[in-house]
Amino acid sequence: MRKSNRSLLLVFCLSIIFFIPFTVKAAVKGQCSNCHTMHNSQDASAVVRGGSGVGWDGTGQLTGGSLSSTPNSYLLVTSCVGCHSSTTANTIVTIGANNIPIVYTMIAPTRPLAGGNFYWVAQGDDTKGHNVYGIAGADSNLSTAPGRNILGCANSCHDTLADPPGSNNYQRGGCQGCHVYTAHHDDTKPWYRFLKGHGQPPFQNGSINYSDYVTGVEDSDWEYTTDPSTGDHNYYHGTTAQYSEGNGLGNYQTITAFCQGCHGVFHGTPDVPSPGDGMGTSSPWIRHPTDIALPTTGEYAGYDPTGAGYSTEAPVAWIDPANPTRAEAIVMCLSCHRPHGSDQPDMLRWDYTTMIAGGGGSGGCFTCHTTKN
Amino acid sequence: MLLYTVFIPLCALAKVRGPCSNCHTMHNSQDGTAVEDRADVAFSPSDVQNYQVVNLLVNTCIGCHSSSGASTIVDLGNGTRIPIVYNTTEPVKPLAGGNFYWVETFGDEYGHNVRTVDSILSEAPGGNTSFGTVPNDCGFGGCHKSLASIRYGPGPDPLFNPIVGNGCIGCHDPAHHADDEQHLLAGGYKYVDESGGGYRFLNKAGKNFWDIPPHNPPAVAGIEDPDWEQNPSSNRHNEYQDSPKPFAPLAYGQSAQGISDFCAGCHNDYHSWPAGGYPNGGNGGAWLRHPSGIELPSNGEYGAYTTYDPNVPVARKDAVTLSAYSGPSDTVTPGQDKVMCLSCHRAHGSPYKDMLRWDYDNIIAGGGGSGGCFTCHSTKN
Repeated sequence: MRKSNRSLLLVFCLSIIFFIPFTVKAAVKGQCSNCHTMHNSQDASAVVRGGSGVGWDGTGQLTGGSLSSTPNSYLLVTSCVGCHSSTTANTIVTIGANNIPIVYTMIAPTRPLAGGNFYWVAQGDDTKGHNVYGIAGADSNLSTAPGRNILGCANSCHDTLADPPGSNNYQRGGCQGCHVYTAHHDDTKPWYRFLKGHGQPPFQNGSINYSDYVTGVEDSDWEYTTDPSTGDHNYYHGTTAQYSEGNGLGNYQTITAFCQGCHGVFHGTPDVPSPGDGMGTSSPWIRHPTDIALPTTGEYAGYDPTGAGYSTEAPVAWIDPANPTRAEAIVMCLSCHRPHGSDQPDMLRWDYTTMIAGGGGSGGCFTCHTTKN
Repeated sequence: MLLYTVFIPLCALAKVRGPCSNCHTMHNSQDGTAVEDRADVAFSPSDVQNYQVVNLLVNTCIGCHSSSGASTIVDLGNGTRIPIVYNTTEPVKPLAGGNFYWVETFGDEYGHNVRTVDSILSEAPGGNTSFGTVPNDCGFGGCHKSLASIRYGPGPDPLFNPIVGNGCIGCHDPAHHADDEQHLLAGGYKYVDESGGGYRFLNKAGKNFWDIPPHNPPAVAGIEDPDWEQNPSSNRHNEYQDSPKPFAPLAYGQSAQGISDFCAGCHNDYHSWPAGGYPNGGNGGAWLRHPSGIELPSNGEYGAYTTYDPNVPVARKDAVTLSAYSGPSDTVTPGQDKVMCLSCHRAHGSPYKDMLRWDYDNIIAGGGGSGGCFTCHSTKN
């Protein structure tokens, strides 16, 4: 065997050994009729289901809401919420070759997916999830996104996800407030979980090709199952670059920069754009930092998220999600929060009330702050 | 001496050829009995709901164009070739419009109900009043609601309808002796428009009731395959056209009605405007229903469809363009050629539900298949 071929073979074998993740094809599969109706008419009846309570039942049928003679855009049988909801506790609905991730179960979910579940906020606890149109009404505690900076945008997009599609949010409400552009049939789009911004200028020609999207490696079953020992989990993208509210997402394409789109004050350079904004610096931090390196020294040395040491409860991002190394582990917003919702206030990933400094516990905050328990 | 000038009429070339007795009987009496039709017909006049035979014919439309055998062209010799659209034995080679065999054998979802009333649908799907016209409610309870309601003659029961003729004439305005060879092309193909009785007689059947707009748009135009697509291929097929008019009621005054315009006469809500918009969406916004009568886009996944597939046909952009063709073309030009109703459906009937041209249950996104929907949606497989 030629030397170059042996080298290539060695690299290939090593890649298998060290479980370098590969991008998974996520284009939907299955019968078109699972999601689409050509004319919204079958046997003299409408097919589209609208209203509240639409979701998949335990037999793979769309149920709830009411039949509507008004067709949906893109010939869809229901809305985003309807398709990604279930009347059961299941968070993956399988219909033939089609696996549908469920982010809103109308019964407490058995196994929430990586982004969490809207179940708890839908039950009426606004502290436990994003208030998304079609799932929950406007937040009773918050009139705008916490930490929101108005950066030339006076419309409601960055205030709430609970408004219906309308002129004030470019006809995108609810789910599409974050999942701005979807591409269910197109794996060539590089947007991680359809997390893409609106481009600049917003929704003008070419906005779909703008660089403001999150990158990362998607777990094939949305972390329905995880196994850090085999590398079975999402791989998020982070950075150590300093940025402020503006084009952080376009420049760095991290999951944290995406969150900054609405929660800008909690990120970035101190006192930008206003005094008191931002995270501060390491001496001192004024807000919990994100898009910073997880230090390799001190208490943080006790958390090695590479390989089997990865905590799906307190995950990290990576400078290069396809080639994770300890030195490039990044603290991100999702290290502590579930973006859809959780069973904890503030959408946290664990019960904050059990984080007792010196109490001898583990997990949660103590995954990184290993000596503070 | 008187000179007599004998005026010998020039015989017009006509669709039908052969002995008149193949189709007509002068008195319905021969050798002391009523005249019988050919041996293979599947229906006698009395078998058709609300029948009446007219024009000295030996049978109804359904009778003549049906067969108990499996062949879809009956050749009686001397030039008489009859396209069969209703076989009572599963047809071996259905013609372009499909076959009524399946609606009679499998059920109402498999074809238009021309002979008996649909047990599921009480009116044409998509035939509501959104346009301001009322195709499903002309005041007579029939016409656009059900092809099985159309009958000969007046009379209140069971379905009153002043249109004279059985179900077939809900769509077809027969003109068997019209000169349809004014634009004869090589290989027996012919461009037919209103002057020749209309492409496949798809003409203003409504004029028999009310010969004013909107019931009298121009006939559909197209190029007819001489074998009715019994043996289709990429360069052996009908040629359809879809006109640039927004919807059917504006068809009159133009040179020809598009094939999708014609379907919209009953299924108007499913028809697309070239500029998009209500009721099907489009025009820069999202489509609400599958578009028809619009150009197949030249970009993205649609650009891969460049060789004509007779199982997923396209229409040419207008009658003027089509009239310049020398015959069927095996080329599809995204950005010019059009998606039409018949791109997905068979007009008479098919072996698939909703009269589709393929089994929709086998169209699996991401399943790696081909054909059917994926002929145009080439990257969704």
